[in-house]
Amino acid sequence: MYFSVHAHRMCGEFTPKLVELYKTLKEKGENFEVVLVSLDDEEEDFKESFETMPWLALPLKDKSCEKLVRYFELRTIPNLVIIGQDGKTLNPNVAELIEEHGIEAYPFTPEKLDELAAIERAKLESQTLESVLVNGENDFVIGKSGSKVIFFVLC
Amino acid sequence: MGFYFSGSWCGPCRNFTPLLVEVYEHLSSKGDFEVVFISSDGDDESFNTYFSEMPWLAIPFSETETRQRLKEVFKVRGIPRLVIFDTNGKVSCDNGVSTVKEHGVDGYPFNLDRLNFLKEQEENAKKNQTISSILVSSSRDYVISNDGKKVDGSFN
Repeated sequence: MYFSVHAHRMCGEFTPKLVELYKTLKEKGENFEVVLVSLDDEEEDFKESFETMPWLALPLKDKSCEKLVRYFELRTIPNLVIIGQDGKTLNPNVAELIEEHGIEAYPFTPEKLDELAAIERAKLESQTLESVLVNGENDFVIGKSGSKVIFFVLC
Repeated sequence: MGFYFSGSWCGPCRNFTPLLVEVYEHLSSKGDFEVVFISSDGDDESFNTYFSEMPWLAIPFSETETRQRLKEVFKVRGIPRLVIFDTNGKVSCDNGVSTVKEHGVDGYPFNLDRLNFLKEQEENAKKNQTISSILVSSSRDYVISNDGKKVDGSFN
């Protein structure tokens, strides 16, 4: 369930990412569907948004839209609520997860989220000054005069 | 009975009026519900145009003092505002706009008992949530695709 507002900048940025994710999942034959719950007032705004979306929608201003905002206790938009095959809510909002991990976050199950968290933790644990500061060939920092200080001298 | 404080210059009011018309038409056919419009319009003409969209009653536009007094009595700071009374004339719902937006005709008679009942029903629906309980309603069993087609909302 994708809660979105046409003129909202963050929604405008998120929608193309979700379109990409959606198309990739469809190509893979995954059983994933999105239903837009538009919180727009104007028919024109709704149409303009919905045109860019390859998925389904509730009709604009349908009473369910307002109801679902309350039902899912919506605090922010964009908001993508994930409903499992059994109809139960798997995750109340994965918009940020998708921003951060893209398709890696699919299928948004608690197990998948644990897995992503574990990867993050491992990254942090294996972090050294070198892994943070050195980027390929760029293994130096600079002084005010422009002089390069090779990283290992720092240690 | 509901007092509807509204004005044609106010976008949220213009958006809300059709919802109230729908609820009113449904309920008034049973003879159970009346609405009185208290206008915040600036001139007679805009009052008349706006009132012509409403199937209910109104305080005459010329009764400026009455309109003003009612706004004060019900502490109307913003519009649209819908105050609903029970048959004894006591306020049963001070926040009729969000109640009507949320529940439509299901909210009738818009008192606390009814709202608590609906809330309980919703809690139960949450416990027994299914794709259909989220997506479809008593008046609509489909969702739409962007080429205008209707698709079964229970995904059967």
